[in-house]
Amino acid sequence: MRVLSYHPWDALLRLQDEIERAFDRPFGFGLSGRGAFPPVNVFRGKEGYVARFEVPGLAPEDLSIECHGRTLQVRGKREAQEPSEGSVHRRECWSGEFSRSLQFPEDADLSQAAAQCRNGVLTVRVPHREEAQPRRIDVRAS
Amino acid sequence: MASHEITVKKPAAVEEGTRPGRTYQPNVDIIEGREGVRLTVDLPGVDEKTVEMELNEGVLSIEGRVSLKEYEDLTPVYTEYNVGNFERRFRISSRIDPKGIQARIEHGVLHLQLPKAEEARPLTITVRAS
Repeated sequence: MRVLSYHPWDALLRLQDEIERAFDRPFGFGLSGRGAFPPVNVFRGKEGYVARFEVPGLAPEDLSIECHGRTLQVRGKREAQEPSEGSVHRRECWSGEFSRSLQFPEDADLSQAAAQCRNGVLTVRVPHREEAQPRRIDVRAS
Repeated sequence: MASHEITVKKPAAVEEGTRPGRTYQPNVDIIEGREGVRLTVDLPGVDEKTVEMELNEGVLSIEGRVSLKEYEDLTPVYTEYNVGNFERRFRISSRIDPKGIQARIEHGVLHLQLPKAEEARPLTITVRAS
């Protein structure tokens, strides 16, 4: 059972704890590798799966997403900030070309996937297959 | 496949926080030129309404808050990064003209231009033939 949150800070702490617990939790997701850019989190909700990638600096037009069977592939490019003059003191921001693949479980319907990119976060929503949706069974009197 | 060691975010190094929840240190590029210092700060999930900056006694503080609304009713099944607010402080060594600071946030990246104060800029002296 989920306890309703009564304070946004509680919600933040709970989310952070849940994410930490989920680190390394094996699931049916086949991934091209941890440590790659962009990092991804996958969540399960009532309607389906939500994959969230951190893609700072990328506009929606810099990203391309393809589905092949149960695999979702995200590709993109982030241009490096080149100094016209002067010296580089720190360079921590990731830049370059990337390609990441995520394999979804059987109950995900990738043909219905929808993506949105806002403030450097790419959200891909993948609904459950119709037959995997919860179904209500009426009880009839005999 | 390009890879980069950035997956696990570093907790922000802050003195005794008074706010609950963990904060994380954003990645940053710092480029110094003759005219000023350029900072690029990765703040995915942060927009112009949820970012705060302060320059006080040579210390520049940047804070970004992320919205939790989009995480309601979701259970993590696979995770590579933690979600939290961002915070980082920088000691600015050069004298900066605070009035000339320009900041812009776009696609979750904060671009800061800190112009050097007139007296801190390198001075070119022309040598004339007598």
